Amino acid sequence: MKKEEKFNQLVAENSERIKRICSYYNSNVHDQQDMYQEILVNIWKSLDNFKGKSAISTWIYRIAVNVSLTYTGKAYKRMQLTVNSDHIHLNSLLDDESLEEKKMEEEQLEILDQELNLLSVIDKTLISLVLEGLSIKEISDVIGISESNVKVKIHRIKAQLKTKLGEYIYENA
Amino acid sequence: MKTHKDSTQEIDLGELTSRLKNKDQGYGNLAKRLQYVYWAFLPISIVLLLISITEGSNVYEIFGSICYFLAFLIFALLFRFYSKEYKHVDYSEPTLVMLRKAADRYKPFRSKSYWAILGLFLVVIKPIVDKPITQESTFDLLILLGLFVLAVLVGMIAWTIRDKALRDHILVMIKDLEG
Repeated sequence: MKKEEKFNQLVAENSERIKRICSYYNSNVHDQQDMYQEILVNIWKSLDNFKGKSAISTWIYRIAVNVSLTYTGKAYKRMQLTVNSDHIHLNSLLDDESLEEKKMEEEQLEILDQELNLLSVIDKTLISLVLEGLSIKEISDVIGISESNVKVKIHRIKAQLKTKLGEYIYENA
Repeated sequence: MKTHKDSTQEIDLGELTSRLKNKDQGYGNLAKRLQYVYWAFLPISIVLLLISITEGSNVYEIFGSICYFLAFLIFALLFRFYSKEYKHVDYSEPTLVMLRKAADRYKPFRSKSYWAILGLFLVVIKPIVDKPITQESTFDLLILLGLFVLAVLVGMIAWTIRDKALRDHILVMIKDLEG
């Protein structure tokens, strides 16, 4: 298969994935579009180096995350992790039963959105991959840290979010 | 609740692919041409060195020709390294590896930069050393050293304004990942 055909096929199969990553890192539509183009440019540039050692989806996530982190580099303070309420994996952050019941409440989602945006860039990156439904092993492959380190970090972030949401529920009870 | 418009609806994939192909070719051709130029200087400087030896030039002139040869060799090797490095910035590596490499690229003084300074020094010093050492040539050398110090200062200011914040941010992310 020619490089051009391979590239077109990859983009067709993964465009939704890439678009979502762009939307996590930037709420501005024009910036998302620039970021998306930059990711495609880098997929093209790295395509010859893809040896199939990792799953193609992991490889695409790596490029998307790395480009997004670099892209937001100078503007990292403005980075906004935005979460859609209809996101299929949102409950992965709200796996506590008492919170599960209230997860669809608008205010709680807004609090979650606010708290997510107080996280560090790296924590936001990890959470964006959790929201994408990646396993610990896949996140470890994308980020390049050990699985146990990924587990610890995600556990810490979830605990932090639960505490904040718990405080909110307690205050409003 | 935030909703997102389709961020990619205006992108023409065919046009983008064509631009990417042109870009690839452009990078390749530019790197090739510059490589040829730098390596072409080397045999020329060897010929000049041989001419100055066979014509019985004095030791200063021969030393000056050696300076040129060494400077071109340094630049050729450095350019080869940097062009290769730039061409191979690989965003498909794990994030931590990519960040570590980026932090190294944005260092104000990389070990290889000292070779560039040496190369520049050899080029500019040549007209000074191929004459016997006099008070005038010593003065020229001092001016040259002053210019080097000034260039380093300007470079540091430019790095502080342009790259320091970005590198600091990268270092924070690395620390965050490793912690």
